[in-house]
Amino acid sequence: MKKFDIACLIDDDKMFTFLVSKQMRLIHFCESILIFNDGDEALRYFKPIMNSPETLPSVILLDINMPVLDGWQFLDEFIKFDIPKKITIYIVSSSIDQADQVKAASYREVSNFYVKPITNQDLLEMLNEIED
Amino acid sequence: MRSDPLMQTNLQLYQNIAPLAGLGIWEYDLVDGSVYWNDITKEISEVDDDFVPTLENTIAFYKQPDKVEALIAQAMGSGKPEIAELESTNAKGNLKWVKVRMQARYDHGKCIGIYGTLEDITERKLLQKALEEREQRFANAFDYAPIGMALVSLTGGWIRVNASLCQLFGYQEEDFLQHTFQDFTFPADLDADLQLLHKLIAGNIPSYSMEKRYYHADGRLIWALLNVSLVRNDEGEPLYFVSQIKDITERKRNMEIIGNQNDRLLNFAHIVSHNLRSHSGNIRMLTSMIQEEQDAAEKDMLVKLLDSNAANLLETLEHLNEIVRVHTEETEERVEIDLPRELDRVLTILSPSMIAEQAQITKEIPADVTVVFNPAYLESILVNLVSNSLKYRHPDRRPELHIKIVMNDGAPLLSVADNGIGIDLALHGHKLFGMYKTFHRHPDARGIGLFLVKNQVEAMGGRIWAESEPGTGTTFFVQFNPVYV
Repeated sequence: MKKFDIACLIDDDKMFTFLVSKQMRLIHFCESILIFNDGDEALRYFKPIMNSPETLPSVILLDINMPVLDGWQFLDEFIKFDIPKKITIYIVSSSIDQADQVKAASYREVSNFYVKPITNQDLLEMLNEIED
Repeated sequence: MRSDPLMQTNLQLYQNIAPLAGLGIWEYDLVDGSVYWNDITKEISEVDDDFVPTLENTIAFYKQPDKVEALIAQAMGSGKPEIAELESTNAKGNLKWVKVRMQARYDHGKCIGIYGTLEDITERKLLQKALEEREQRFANAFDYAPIGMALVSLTGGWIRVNASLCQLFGYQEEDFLQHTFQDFTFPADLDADLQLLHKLIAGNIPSYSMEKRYYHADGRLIWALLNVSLVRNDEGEPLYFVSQIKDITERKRNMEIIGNQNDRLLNFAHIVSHNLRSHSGNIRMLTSMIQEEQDAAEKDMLVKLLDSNAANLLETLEHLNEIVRVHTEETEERVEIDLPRELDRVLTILSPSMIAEQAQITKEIPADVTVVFNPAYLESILVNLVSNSLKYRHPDRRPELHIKIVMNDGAPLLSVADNGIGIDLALHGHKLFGMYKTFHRHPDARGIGLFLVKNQVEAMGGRIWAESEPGTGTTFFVQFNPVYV
């Protein structure tokens, strides 16, 4: 079974990040997990390590509604980087607002939109989409 | 009577021309009492060929014989031509309007006769009467119209206004006549009106209608549906505008209320689904993990998490309930409140925390500013704005607050300015007043205060917005509702 090297969760709901990271470990989703509680925290972490692919995540689960920098604002900043690695980005949100799904589809960098809760099945689906 | 050749020719000429011009000619000889009528006079009177006119039977044709007698007396006295338009009923009983000209003839200072002409003006008179009647009908329709009507000059001056318009604007007719419609128009709506007006003059459009705002005499704004058409003369040159002005303030206000309510409902539906979903999503994940968990201690921990999640869900429900209450109780309690006094009261309530933060407050507030508002909301708005300024103070300087009230379009505009850490509005402006939106990693930032404040302001028909410079400070503005009827 394929697995991600580093997975990244960006979500201000600490309960959610705790639960998902626990599930990730259970199904051997990845080697290690990075957790940030808003977009700004994540950006600050990524900025200095942008040139070392081995420290960057290969999958990001990104929430939309967050304080300081929300999911969209994080995306707008993040895609400006010249990223030396294939990073799959999934939006994972409680939003069932059609406008958010449409907006997500407008980003080339966003692979899919998941509405919370995330199930084991969803995580396995992400694993299946890993390109060889 | 002389009978030289020239005189003969002139007489012939006049006898030929008189019938040609449709001119009746008559003469009354005072010496022998005889009356002469030419053929046209007989035609107008529709008498038989053998009719012998006398002064008495002539006067008898007229509806007001005394007027004819008076005219004759005047002609005999003055010696000058006298003219009158008279109504008569001729021999066949037909109504005839005639124009009578007459002059007296004298011999050695004594009046010996009267001669004159008679002209059938029935057709012109009837046309004129019909026109007068039409004008009267228009005047009646104009004066007693239930909607405001006005004649307006090409440059915008009021020429004539009806009673409904006076009532709508609260001005007397004299007040109107000294002004232009531009004077009464809400500035933001003037351009659109003038553009249409120019198109109308240019003949590009036959008429126009628009919704616009005017100032009432007492300063408040009224919404009106305006219809304008242009009256031109026979040459097609513009003369004046006919404007119909209908009061739609009530409808506008209702539409605004409904529009705001719909926006809020949609917004609320999104909030409810989002906020409840994030909790229920976690609960769903927890329950499935509890089912799968083998380790007893781990299972116990997950149950504890489930419990705290349930508590969070309840808290969110309470917040949502609070919002619903804002919008269902909005009409129940609305009283006139002295804004400066209420502000002082709130500042007193908050004085312990202001002293603790060593905050300085300056105020720029006119006396006698009242708002019609729900008292609990007003307190909540003031408390939130002032305490936000303290909560997000700059760590390196003493908090300074400047609270100001100015009148803006006849309604108070409150501003609360601080020298705090500020907010990057380019980044966060669109969600500043959203629920559970926070912009700073402040431990007390719950993202509910400004959301509630916005709902409370809007429930009372007001508006709230902010200006901010990160690192310099933030100013919140609350525009209270302009007072309608």
